Amino acid sequence: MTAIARKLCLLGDFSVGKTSLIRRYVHDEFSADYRATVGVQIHQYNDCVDGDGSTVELSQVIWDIEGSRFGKDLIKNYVVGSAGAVVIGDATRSDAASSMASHARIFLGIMPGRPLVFAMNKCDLVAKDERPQVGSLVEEFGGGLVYTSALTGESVRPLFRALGMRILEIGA
Amino acid sequence: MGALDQYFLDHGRMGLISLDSDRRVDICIGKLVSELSKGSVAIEALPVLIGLDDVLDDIAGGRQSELLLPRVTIQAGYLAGKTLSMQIMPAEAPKSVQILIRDESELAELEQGVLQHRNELALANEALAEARARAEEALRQKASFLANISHDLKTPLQVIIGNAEILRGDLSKEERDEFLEDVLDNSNFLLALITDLLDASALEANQLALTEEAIDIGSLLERIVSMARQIPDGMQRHFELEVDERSPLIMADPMRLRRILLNLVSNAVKFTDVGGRIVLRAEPKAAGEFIVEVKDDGCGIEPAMMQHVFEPFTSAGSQDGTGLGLHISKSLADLHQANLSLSSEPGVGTTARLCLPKARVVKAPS
Repeated sequence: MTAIARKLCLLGDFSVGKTSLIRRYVHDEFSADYRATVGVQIHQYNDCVDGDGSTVELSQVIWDIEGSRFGKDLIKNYVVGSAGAVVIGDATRSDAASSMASHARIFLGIMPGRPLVFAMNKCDLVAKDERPQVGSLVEEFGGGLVYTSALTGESVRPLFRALGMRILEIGA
Repeated sequence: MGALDQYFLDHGRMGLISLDSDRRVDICIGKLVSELSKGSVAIEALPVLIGLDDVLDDIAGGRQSELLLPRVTIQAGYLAGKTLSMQIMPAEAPKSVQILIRDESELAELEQGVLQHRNELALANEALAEARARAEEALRQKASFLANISHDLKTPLQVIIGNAEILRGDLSKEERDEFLEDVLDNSNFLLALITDLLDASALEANQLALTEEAIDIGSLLERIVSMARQIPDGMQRHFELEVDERSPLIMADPMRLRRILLNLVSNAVKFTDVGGRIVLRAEPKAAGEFIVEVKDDGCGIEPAMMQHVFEPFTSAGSQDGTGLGLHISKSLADLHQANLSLSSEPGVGTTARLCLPKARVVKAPS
């Protein structure tokens, strides 16, 4: 099995649950205690992803980037070199779509043509028919949309796997 | 390199790594990076460099001056657990780069602490703002209550004084009786109002003591129905009494229990139309508790109002009364360790339920 390493980044507003998602994914744990991320946290997780006819061991180096405070130049320093991104929104916020769109634009401005996947997090807190409408994001930027819950673990693994497959697919 | 830089290098606060054209570790200086083996593949040792091949090439080739990565907390691989600031810049050897690393873990910890305090402060401020809003609302309600109560006290007093003035003059017996009747009605209203106010303030100050005795609930309910029929509107309501024959005696303060039930019945009268049906039911429960219900087929209470019905100075859609009746009843029920609850459906009716605890049932049903 071939092992390849790729850099991914997590982008999203302050307190949407980026760190909780990565903790659920890498350590399979959740804490309700909120600690804002200062700067950037770099995690690494190896996953077997189905690529072009074969299974590939993908070493994902995931940059969890602080949700606020950074200027555009600094964001660029952190995002540069990413093979793909997860753009995260908060299902309990009605303005989730517009903030996710702005993060997607920032990412594609730095790494044009690289794949991204949208995660609507905290979906355990919102009834299915009350989730914010974000279908337009997929239409505008491509990629998939996954409803996730770092609390229950719902769709967290499929989220990162979807991005991994997309990265292998386009050879990013 | 200055003395301070040397100090930081020696004490593990700083490190310098030089990568050759194959991006292998060529030189490493400083305690922070002393465990990095010369010749190891840098990218494996430092996952932070993954994806940065083009950037490293650009820096080595002079197309980009440097890359700054402040406050990066490494959670995997070499230097895991540390918060670093990294500066990637060209090295002297051709096609090489060097990385200056500063350990800012302590600073990041402090910053995290400050951020945490800031968040906690923001939450505390929110709670304070809510408490202030609640206090202001309570003040507004009390002010509005004072305005209403002043009016409620003044109006009957004016009627009493006015009628007393008229009664000084020459009047027929019929006229005299009519004015006296008015004086009595208004005096009784004033008395009831002042009793309510005194009770409410005594309850608020926890100064109301119960004088308990064993009460025959059936007789009490009969007296209450008889009193309710004497209320002007009560005459035009249809009362039904359903008391279980096996009803035990209830240990309670007779005055206060009568007050609770009379308040509930008065409300039922107030919120039903002429000819409306009011049912008083008393029955023991299997668990040993005793239930007294007052059920009407009146206009009911809007759901939005239900959560406020037991609050002082609120009246569910009626301008009559002080808005203290249900508040007093609830407080008196609490004093008896009893539970007073209301269920209601607009347009269908309301049921008030007083659940007296097992400890107050003094004679078990035979």
